[in-house]
Amino acid sequence: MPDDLLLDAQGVSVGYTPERGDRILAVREVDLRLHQGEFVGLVGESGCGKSTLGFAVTGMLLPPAQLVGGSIVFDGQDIASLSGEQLRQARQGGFALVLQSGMNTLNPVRTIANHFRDLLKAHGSDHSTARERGAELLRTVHLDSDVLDRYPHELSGGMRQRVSIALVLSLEPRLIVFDEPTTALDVVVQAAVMSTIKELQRTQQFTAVLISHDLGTVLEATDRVLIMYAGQIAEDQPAADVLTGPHHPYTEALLSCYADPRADVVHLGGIAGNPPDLSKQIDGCPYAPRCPLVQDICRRIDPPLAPLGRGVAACHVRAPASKELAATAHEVADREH
Amino acid sequence: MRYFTRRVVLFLITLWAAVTLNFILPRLMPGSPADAALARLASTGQPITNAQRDAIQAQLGGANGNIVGQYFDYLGNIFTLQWGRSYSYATETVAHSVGRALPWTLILVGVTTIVAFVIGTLMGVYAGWRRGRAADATVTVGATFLASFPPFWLGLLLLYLFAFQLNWFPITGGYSAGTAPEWTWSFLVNAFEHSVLPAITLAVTSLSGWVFGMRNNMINTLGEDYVTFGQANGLRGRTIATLYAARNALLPNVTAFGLSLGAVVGGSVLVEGIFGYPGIGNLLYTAVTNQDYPLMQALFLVITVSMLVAIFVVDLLYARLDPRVRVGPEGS
Repeated sequence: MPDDLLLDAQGVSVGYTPERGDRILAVREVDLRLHQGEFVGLVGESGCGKSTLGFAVTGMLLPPAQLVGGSIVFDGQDIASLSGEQLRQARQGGFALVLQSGMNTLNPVRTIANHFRDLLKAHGSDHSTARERGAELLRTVHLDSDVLDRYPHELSGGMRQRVSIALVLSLEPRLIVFDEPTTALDVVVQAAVMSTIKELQRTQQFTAVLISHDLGTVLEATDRVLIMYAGQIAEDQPAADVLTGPHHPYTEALLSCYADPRADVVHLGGIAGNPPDLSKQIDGCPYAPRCPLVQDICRRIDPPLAPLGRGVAACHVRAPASKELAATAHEVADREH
Repeated sequence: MRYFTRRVVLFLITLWAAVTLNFILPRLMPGSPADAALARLASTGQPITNAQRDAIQAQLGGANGNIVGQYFDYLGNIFTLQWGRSYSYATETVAHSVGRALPWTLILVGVTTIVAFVIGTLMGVYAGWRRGRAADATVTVGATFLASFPPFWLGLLLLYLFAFQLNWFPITGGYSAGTAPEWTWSFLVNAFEHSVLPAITLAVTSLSGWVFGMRNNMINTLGEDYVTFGQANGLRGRTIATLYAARNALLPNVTAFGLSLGAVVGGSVLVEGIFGYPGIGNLLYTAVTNQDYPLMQALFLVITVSMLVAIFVVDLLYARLDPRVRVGPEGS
């Protein structure tokens, strides 16, 4: 285990158990390794399990969601085994979560200064200096200290999201998961908030996970991109390689959904068919029914992650995991040309 | 401050509308309430002076004078507490009857309303916070059970058990016959003993509403992003339950609480009736059965005005509780 490994999640499965009907496996045996100071993007369409995975690694799975398999080791400690109070304390200097739409993440009846005071108090810090500490943190997200005396409804959406980032920073977390942090904001504000996040990550050197359906934003901000499909990692590549080189067919389909991957406007939905029903057992590759390169083997065997370019992908055709599978794939390649 | 001014103006306009309606309604009634009132007053055997006739006609509408003049006479009488004479209690003025009944109702119904609100809200917070667990099930089932008791039935049951069978509490009245209301220890104890059963009846039957309201509000606010975010930031459970969830869940309940405080003055006709309690509810019952128009009109006025005052106070309180309402539509 390399020294700088911060988070080591192995075989993570998360199920949602509805009151009626079958359990939905939103995340299926995912391995996720995050290194110190790394900025990783997590991309996929709605319902692919990216947010659920983000919540799982920050110990925020709330019923009806529950971890049904695997281990999540943060800095040598399995967070799934922590009791409620241990988990609460581990958040100071540990892992944090910035939620989608900063709009509603602040308590409408408390001033911003009180939010800082509550947090410092909860972690046994000296909360008499909450105002000074708050002002200092607000400065790092480019907000004026007079924001301290405001109520959330007196702030704009972008300001609220900046305040929630400042609040999270007061915990001095080593891992921050940003769950679609700019989705509810207009494009101009989006770009400004994203640039603040990038800047903070560079200067404070925390490990960051950016969950988004906007591949353009993710490619600009991150070092490494994970593409998720149907609760699994389909591909894991350095961000620089995503626009070039061979890929998982799903990644290619995602890329083709953008007129320009750096555009701010997102048009998803250019892939025929629907993701599989996650409450059912999936045989073979989950993308097989929608895949233009599909082979017989894809319908029988779920492909493991295997080397592709500088990263890995789960595809029998593009990243065959064994010689036997490679033979099948070569046939395909021949036919393609 | 702008908020305050707007509330005051709104309050005054509503108050004027209520007082005016109270003037118009008896004049719209079939027959003449004023003639009926005069006839009833005459039947008590007292001589009716011209001044009395004029006063009754000014209040309830009579043949003489133009309507505008009557209206201003009426307004003048209202604000100088000259509400006329009741013929249910021929020896005293309506203002006296109302003044005599008011403290009993204010204390009995007022205290039980506040106690039921506080206990019910706390139970609702607890049940909502522990939603789906055994504690929630216990509180919810218990509250449903209590909610199914009609107040008059529970009152009769308590009377039968604790007053008639066990003789722990007096059967009727606000104080023992033979004593007169006075500020002595023994009278206060006596009055307290008389208030226990009606208070239990009122509190128990109104408790469930607060429990359910607060529990549902709690469950809604617990699903809000600021609660999730607080948890993700490692706030203590107690902080989240109180300052984050319950503090926000309380807001809709405060409005309902204001309305029930306003309704306090109306008393509880059924419960006061069963226990023979000397409050406004009983007085209203007496007024209606005796077709005592002056008394009825005065009671309606008092009840309406109390409701308006309660709503006004809640509006001001709400501004203290929710920073969002302090900003008007034209605010920043």
